[in-house]
Amino acid sequence: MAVAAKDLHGTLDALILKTLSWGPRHGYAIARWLEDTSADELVIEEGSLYPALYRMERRGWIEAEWGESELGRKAKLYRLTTVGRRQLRAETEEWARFAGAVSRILLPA
Amino acid sequence: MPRPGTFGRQLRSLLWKASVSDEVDAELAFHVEMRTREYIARGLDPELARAKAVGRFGNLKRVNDTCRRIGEGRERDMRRAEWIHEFVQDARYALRQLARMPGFTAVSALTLAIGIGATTAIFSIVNAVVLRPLPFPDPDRLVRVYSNRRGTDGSTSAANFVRWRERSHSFSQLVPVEYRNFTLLTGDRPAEQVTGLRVSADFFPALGLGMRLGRPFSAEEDQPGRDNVVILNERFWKSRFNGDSSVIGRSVRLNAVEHVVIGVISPAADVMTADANVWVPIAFTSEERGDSRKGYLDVFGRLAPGVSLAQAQSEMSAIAKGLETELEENRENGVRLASLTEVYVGSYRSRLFILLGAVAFVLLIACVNVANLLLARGAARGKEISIRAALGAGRARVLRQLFTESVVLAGIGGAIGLLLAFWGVRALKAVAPSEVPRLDQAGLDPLTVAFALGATVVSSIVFGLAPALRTARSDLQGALREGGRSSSLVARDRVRQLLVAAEVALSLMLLVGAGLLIRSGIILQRVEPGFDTARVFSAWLALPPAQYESVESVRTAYDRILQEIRAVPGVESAAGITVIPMTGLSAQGNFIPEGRAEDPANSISFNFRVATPGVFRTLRIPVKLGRDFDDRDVATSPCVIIVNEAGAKKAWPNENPIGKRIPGRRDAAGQRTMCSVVGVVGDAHDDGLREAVRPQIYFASAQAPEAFWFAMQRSMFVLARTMGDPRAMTKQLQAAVARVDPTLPMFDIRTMDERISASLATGKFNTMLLTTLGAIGLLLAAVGIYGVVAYFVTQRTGEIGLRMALGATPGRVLRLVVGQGMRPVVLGIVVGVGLAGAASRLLASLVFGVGTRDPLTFVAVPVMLGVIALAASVLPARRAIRVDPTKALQS
Repeated sequence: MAVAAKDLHGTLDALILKTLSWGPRHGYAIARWLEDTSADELVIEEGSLYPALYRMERRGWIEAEWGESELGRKAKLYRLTTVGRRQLRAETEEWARFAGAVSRILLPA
Repeated sequence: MPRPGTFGRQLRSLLWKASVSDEVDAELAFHVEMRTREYIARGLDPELARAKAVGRFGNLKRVNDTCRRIGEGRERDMRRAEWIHEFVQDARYALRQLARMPGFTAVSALTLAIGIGATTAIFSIVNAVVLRPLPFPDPDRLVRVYSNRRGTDGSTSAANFVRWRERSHSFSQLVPVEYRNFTLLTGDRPAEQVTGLRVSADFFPALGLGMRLGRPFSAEEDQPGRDNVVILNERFWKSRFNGDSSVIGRSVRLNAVEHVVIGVISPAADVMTADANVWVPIAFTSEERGDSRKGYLDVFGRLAPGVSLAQAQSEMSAIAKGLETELEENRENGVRLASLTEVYVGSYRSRLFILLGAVAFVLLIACVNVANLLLARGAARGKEISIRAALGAGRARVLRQLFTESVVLAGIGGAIGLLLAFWGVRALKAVAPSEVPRLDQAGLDPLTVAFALGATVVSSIVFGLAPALRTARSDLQGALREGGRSSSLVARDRVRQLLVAAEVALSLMLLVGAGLLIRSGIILQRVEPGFDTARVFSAWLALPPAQYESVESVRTAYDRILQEIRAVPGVESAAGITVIPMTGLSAQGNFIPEGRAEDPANSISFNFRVATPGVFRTLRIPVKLGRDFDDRDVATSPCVIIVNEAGAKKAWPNENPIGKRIPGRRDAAGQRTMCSVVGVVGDAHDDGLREAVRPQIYFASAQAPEAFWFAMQRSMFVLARTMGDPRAMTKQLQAAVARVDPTLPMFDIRTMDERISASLATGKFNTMLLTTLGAIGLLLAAVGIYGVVAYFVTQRTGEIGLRMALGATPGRVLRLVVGQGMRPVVLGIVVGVGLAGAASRLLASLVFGVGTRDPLTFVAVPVMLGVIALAASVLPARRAIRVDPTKALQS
């Protein structure tokens, strides 16, 4: 069963940042990349995705620019900033700690 | 330091400025479209594909709104960050500029500091004394209720008060206060005289006064016989009982009667009763309730909810109307209500606001000075500004940068000013007379600091605006071409001419106001008090009723005390009197001279007092006609009086007053005894030198009735004229009194000189403040006017050289230059005199002995300013004429 990304509290930001670490992308492309990469195990809800993008832009983690999409349409492309890169690192570590702790409890060796 | 990409971002934010919502719309539309294509590609029907794509958003509208809100927040953040960034940049630049010209910076900052500091210090005092509300709950509901006879407010008799309280409905509480002095005996120290109050039990709830310790009076204790309890003032409790809380429950003797201490009142009470040390229940006796003759109560009320002051006034007036016929002594007795705030700060309000106005002028003058300095500098900076403009800085940007410089300059001035204000307030509090209420609370509180900040910002706008506009507008290309030489611009500078005129006008108004009040102060110092205050000792005695029950014992005691004092070596003469001049106290009585109709129109209001023989010799009040009291005037002899010249003139104009009679007290049969005038003495001031001398009557102490001694609490001032310093005699005089009664304390020991200066202190304080402000204003104005006029003339050195080279005579050139330099000065003087004439009427209540159009002041101030301006144009012009023309032209 697919999991909504917003259910994993706080991880949506990290996922978006991770996506952008491969290069600038527009919102739809971010959603698709996440769905494809997780083999549709993760459902990215548009209702959460876009507010998250705007919030991160306001915090300076990502910045946006209007550019050409792959189909020649004008699209708003997001790019990771230096601050965002740092944030991604911090969130990844945090996740690893959290996941490790949960795993130790739920999946005893 | 510009960050990479800043330019692109700025450009885009400009392009997209009003359209965060367009951006969101476009972005979400793009997403929906891509998703629709995806679904179509998966084989869905286009309609359905689109609906599904939109459906994935949940509520598309809400997502759109959320994004727009965040996006707009980001725009705001960016604008703010950019603004702060630019401000910091400008401020740094301004600081560098200011540091480059230390002379200019020091003079401007100091000028502003004086202006801001003086204004803030005075504001701090106005705030503490006038603006801050009284420390009671709902202070605006508290009123003072006066008995009012023919426009004069007075105290109220107990009979009147109890009727007011029974009949009125306008008050939730109506409470009486009686000021009274007590002899306090605690067993561990000699007897001492303390000031105190009698109040009703509901006084505390009425004012909302809490207790520091213990409890207030209960209603039962407000009954005669149950009233042997006392509450202490906090300060007295600390100083006399060392703040010992075990004092509650202790017994002390007040006027030889045991009282139990039940509480210590909160210091809030000090506002109205600072010097009341002990509080006892008023506990009216039935005799007091019936007495409508003696007015000794101060009445306070708290208005009932929903009742206005005017409604309460009209109800009380109606009640007073009824009492006029009901109570024998109530003829023409009205009632006047006044808000408590008005009573306590009313008389200081106008004075302090005038002071605040005066300092505002000082601040304005300071601003005009700095504006002038900035203008002069602006002309020199024409080139720099032109370069910035040529490099692409818009006019708004240049203006903003110039303004930032003003703000930075004002900030420095404000910071120093705050420091000056801190010292200023301390100095003012040190020299201020103690009568000014609540002055001790003045200080640099948050409101005062906010005021200083406001004054700083406002002044930076005032002095920065004209120069900034002027500089930003100046002919930029011309300035560049001329290589920064802008001398030709200056001569035509309208703004500066206007500033000169404004500065002259402002200084003139300030100095005329200060001049009028200083003149009043000087005239007041010269007013003769009507008696010789030098080397006179004075002290107040009150005989406790327990030991001095009968009127005979009171008379004997005072006779013996005066005898002992006269016997002290170094005492020239001594006497006793119930009211001494210049204490601000006076008892008043209305008398109709014998032979006139019993018509209120014939009655004359006298200040009356009771005196022993020798009082005129001791105070050196001249006896003009007849004689002083002497041993012949005893209780059994015919009643005699002495009047002052003002009284004699009023009662018996153009007649010899000796032998004339007025009705005095009633005898046992209810008949009024007639008292004949045996002497006329000179006028002595009673209410301070400002007031005209009122008619005065002196009664002989040997003939004063028992009721009188009761009303005066068997008290008298004892006066002694000494050969040396009266202060140094205090010990011997105290010993003399102790030889008669060792338990009798002397109270309020002061020389007459000290009493007089206390009565003049408030006026002197005002005059001193204004003199200081006037001096600061004069200094600033002189420096400012001189500076700006001289600058004008100096700028014309080249032109003067040219004229000289072309053959103009020195005299002609001087006339021309000085004439042009003086034109705005004369304009300023004309406008200033007009404005000062109009504004000086505000001072009418404060000036004394001079008119508000005092010619001397109105001539001296303009002449003084004119001379300064003339010197400022003549001196540099002569220097310019003496310069070798060829050199002048080269420069």
